[in-house]
Amino acid sequence: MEQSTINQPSVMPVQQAVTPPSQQPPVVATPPKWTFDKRYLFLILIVIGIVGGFFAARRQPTPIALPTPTDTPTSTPKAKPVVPFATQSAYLDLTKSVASLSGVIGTLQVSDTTLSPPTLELSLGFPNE
Amino acid sequence: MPTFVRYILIVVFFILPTSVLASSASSYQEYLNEFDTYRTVLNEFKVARSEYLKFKTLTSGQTALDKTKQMLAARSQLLRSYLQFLNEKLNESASMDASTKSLYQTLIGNEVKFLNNHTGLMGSIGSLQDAEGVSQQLSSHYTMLQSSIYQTIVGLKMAELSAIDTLYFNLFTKSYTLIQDNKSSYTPEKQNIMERWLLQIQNKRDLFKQKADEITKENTTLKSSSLSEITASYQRIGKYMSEARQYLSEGTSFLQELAASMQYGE
Repeated sequence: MEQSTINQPSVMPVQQAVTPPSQQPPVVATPPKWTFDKRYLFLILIVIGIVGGFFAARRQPTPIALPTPTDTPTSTPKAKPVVPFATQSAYLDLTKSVASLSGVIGTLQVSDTTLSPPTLELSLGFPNE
Repeated sequence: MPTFVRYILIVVFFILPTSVLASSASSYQEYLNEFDTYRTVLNEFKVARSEYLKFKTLTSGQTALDKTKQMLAARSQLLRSYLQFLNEKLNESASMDASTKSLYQTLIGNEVKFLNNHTGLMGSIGSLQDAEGVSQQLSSHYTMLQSSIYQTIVGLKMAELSAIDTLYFNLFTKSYTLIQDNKSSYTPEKQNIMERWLLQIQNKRDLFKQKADEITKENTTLKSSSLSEITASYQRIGKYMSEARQYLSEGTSFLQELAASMQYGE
């Protein structure tokens, strides 16, 4: 019994087939996406403002050419010929009288409040008894 | 003429107008004093009336009667002093002709007679009913009284406007004559311009005349049964008078321009 056991060919244990490890695609390490932090915008604007202000202050103001007043050429009015009777009393009286009339009309009060009649209470207001 | 008489005449000539003016001013002052008295008495009357209407006692009734009589007397006196003032104004008016003045003075005289009669009735007032009756007499006549007052005021103002119009026309005529007499001093263009200006000055006077006619027409018919109608008519006349004055004012400005322009030949 034992012999049979010895003569018995040894049976090799079936080894499991070794499968090569499956090849995974290489993971490409993408660089982190750069996002603009809006807080920087504020900072940039301040910097631009300071720099701009600095340059503006350093710039010499360009002188504005002011218009210089010039005498406009005016023709001297020709003296109108005065009629001979303008110096006579008739004409002078007329101008005086017209000026006087103008004054009289100016002072005339058509609605003279001193002439307004008094406002009276006509009804006594006692009930008929 | 002896020197003494001449001296007296000169003194009278200078003193008379002042005394006339003083007359109008003093009557106006008197009218204002009467107005103050009336206001005071009216307030006292109102207090007495409201007390009587509230308590109806014999005492309050007697006080109300006394105050009513005082108020009626003060009211009548106020109207008389006002009419006196208007009469003085008529006396002073140098621009109003004698017949028109006499007409208005008759109107005022009639109203003063009425008020004297009205005041005479106050002695017979023995009760509040009597007082109502006497007061009613003035109330029923008041429309006519107001009409006479308004007619007189309009008459006074129209006399002033007419006097100004006469002066205006005289100056217009003078200007026209001066231009005609010195026509040769002006260029033909200048003559045409001045003729056009004279026409415009004449037009202003025509407009004044039209307005004055409207005023006179409305003033003579200033009689109505209603006080409100008379007041409305008086206000309308006031508006017409302002317009009439405006025409004369504009015309005078034209005259001034013309006179200034007349001294130049071109």
